[in-house]
Amino acid sequence: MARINDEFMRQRITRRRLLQGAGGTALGAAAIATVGCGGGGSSGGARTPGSTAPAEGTPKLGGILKQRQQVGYPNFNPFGPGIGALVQGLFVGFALYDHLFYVPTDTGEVIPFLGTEFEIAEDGRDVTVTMGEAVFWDKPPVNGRDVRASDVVASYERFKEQIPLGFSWLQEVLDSIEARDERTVVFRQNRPWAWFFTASNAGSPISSSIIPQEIVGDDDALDSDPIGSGKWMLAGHDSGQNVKLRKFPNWREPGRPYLEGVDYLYAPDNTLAQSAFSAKDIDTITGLNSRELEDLESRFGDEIVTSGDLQRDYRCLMLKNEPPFDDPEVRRGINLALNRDEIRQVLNLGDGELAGPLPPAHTAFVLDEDDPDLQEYFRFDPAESRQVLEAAGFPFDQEITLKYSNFSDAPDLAEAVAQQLRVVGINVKLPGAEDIISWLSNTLGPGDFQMTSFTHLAYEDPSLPLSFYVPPNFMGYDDPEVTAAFEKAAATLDMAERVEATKDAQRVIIQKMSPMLNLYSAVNYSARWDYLKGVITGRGSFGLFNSGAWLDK
Amino acid sequence: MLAVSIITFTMLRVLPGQDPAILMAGQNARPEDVEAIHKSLGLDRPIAVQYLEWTSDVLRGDLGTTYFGRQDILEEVKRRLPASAELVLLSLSISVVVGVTFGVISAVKRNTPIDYVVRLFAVMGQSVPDFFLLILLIVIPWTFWNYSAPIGGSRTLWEDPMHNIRMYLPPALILGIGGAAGIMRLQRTTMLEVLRSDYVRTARAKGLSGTGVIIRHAFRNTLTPLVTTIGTSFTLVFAGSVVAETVMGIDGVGVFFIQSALQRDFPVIQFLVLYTAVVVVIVNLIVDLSYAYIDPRVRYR
Repeated sequence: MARINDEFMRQRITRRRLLQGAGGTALGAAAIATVGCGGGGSSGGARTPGSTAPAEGTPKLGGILKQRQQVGYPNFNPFGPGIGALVQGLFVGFALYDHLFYVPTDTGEVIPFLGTEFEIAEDGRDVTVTMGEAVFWDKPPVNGRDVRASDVVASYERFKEQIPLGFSWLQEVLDSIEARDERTVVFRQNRPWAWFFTASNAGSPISSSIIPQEIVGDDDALDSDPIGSGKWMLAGHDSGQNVKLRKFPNWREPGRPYLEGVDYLYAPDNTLAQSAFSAKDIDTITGLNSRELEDLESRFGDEIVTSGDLQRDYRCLMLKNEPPFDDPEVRRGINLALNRDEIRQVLNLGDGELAGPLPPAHTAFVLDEDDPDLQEYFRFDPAESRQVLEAAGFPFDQEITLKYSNFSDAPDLAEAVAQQLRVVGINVKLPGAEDIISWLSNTLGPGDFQMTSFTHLAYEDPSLPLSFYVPPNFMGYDDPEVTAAFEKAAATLDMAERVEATKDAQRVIIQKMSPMLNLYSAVNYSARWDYLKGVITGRGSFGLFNSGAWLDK
Repeated sequence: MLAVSIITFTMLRVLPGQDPAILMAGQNARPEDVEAIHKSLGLDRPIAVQYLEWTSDVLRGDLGTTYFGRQDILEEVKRRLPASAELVLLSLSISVVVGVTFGVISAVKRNTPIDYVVRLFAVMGQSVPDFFLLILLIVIPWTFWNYSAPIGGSRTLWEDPMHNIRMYLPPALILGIGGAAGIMRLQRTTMLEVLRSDYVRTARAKGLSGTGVIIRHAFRNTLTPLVTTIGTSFTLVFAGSVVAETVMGIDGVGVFFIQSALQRDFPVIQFLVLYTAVVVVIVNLIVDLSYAYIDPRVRYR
């Protein structure tokens, strides 16, 4: 068995080394909700990204961090029911349960948590993870016992059987998972899968949550009385709202977290949350636009620390691969008619980055800004658009329907896209917003559309956004070259080579003008009071890296 | 009540785009996943069978559990009801006190500047939507004084009086004043009518004081239409409380209903629609019974 030939793995990083090095800073710093990362030149005001906490003095122990809770959790069960798995699974995955490792998208670096060493077989299939020492919370029936490899196995097996969100790696690539001994877990994949370290988390720490064997099959316990080995213990809540977390004194990192606890205060309304932040009823605020941020900065000046976070979700226009959109030249004409900058301005005050086939938050894998293919993808030229469409015989007299849902700003997005397409003479019909459930089940799911515009979910694994161009997909699109490029990237274990393979796949998608035309990802802003220290900004840090946050008051 | 329950139950299951199983299964779900969820929720059986079973459970006090969180619906309603009840009753009280007081003042001081001001506020109260006023209620104190309404859950008046008052009084004022506008206009109209009647003129001719005439003779005779309007205002305040709970983060029944409606959580929607119907019927019954107390002529019939 050889070491994994990934860039990270070549460094043979163990947790000890990580704690001594830059990664240690990342682990030691915190970002509970104040995740932040700006981007490149087209970000329209995004702040400088950073992943390292500045020196802020000696941490003080204790104190309760107060944060906003925007939605109530139906329960605390990562297995659902249903879509609830996503809602509460993210929360418990970040806050209550531990993981073997995690890959923040801003760095793409594998951060060991309970896992200390990782080996991958030469054929790229088996991955062996050696675990460090940790204990569960001291509650019956687990009673503070050691975390074992068999707990990891039991957790993954239930996720593999039950998670309802279509995490394809679990169902299609993972053959089995076994405990070689109490400290060693072996993942057996049916083919080499280069995205293992992100896919095995299903793109987020839901399905990698380590749950004790005693309760992993007990939904009653998971619903209301979870037991984990994470840094925070569930101390109370009002039916899933106003969640209170308290420090787990025996967490695997002695002395951490510095805070005594985190109180989440339920505030569904954005305006209410901003007023609560101004009154210091909560210590952080996220999801601000640039005007709201400027307002806070003008009122509180140096009392607050702000950052910009390039979102991982992205807006797109999807075309059905049927006449007239089965012609790549027609799709090219449509693409030339799209003024992405204008749409970004209308919907997000200009804050965001244009999205190629891969959303820009996947920084390590996206095409360079000056890449000729990407520049061509972003080019806006309505006159040329008209010429291309005319040359391709586009039926300008035919009414083309653009379907959309009523979810969030989807109607605004559809209206903006329709207006731009009308400029070049396309007869776009907006049939009215569909209920989101109806749109999912009747329009997107079965591919019953000519055009549809929407915002994709946030995907941490670059393979997920690219997989939409590979059959089966909503567009009915099947191009062997695109599929081959996608599969080549997935099978390339070496990180540097995989980055190149991923970029090649994006170039193929652009050259083929595949029928999902991505538009942009937005930037949202965050602020925190300056007495909250030890915070790092950086996408992907979420609640997993919050052990070094402390309150200087 | 029977009709309401049947219509609600059937519409939830018949109208397109309402299938909770699709939402639960996610957009990439296979048909067999959706079918499995249908089966687990009992939605694969005939609607009539589902209805009879649900009705039987409700009559026995078993409201079931939510689809998405497996929460006990009865417990959840019991937990949230005090918050909603306090908001509704406080709002209604404000509506009645403000509406009646200013309605009477407006009638007595008719065609004076006071009357014009009161009528202007009445028109504004009826025309400006609650949600806009609620947002102003957050934005204005925040902008000028960095003040925020409390968040983090409800506390009873006995547990934390200041938190309770800060949480409920401002939205209740908004809802109450909105509701007061209708009461005020009606009170003014009926009061004016009564003040022009012969027996009021007689009372004044007998030498009774102005206040005595208004309170003992005129006001009593405006109570019947007033009580009817209060009954109507209750339903308006009840509906408005859903918006207030949502905007102000109050953990009430209204928020529970909205969340459940968005998630197609059938058992919750069915029960809360039925619950609302019961409340409205009870309020109307109380209004009808109060006629007999207010007006002896009704009692003698």
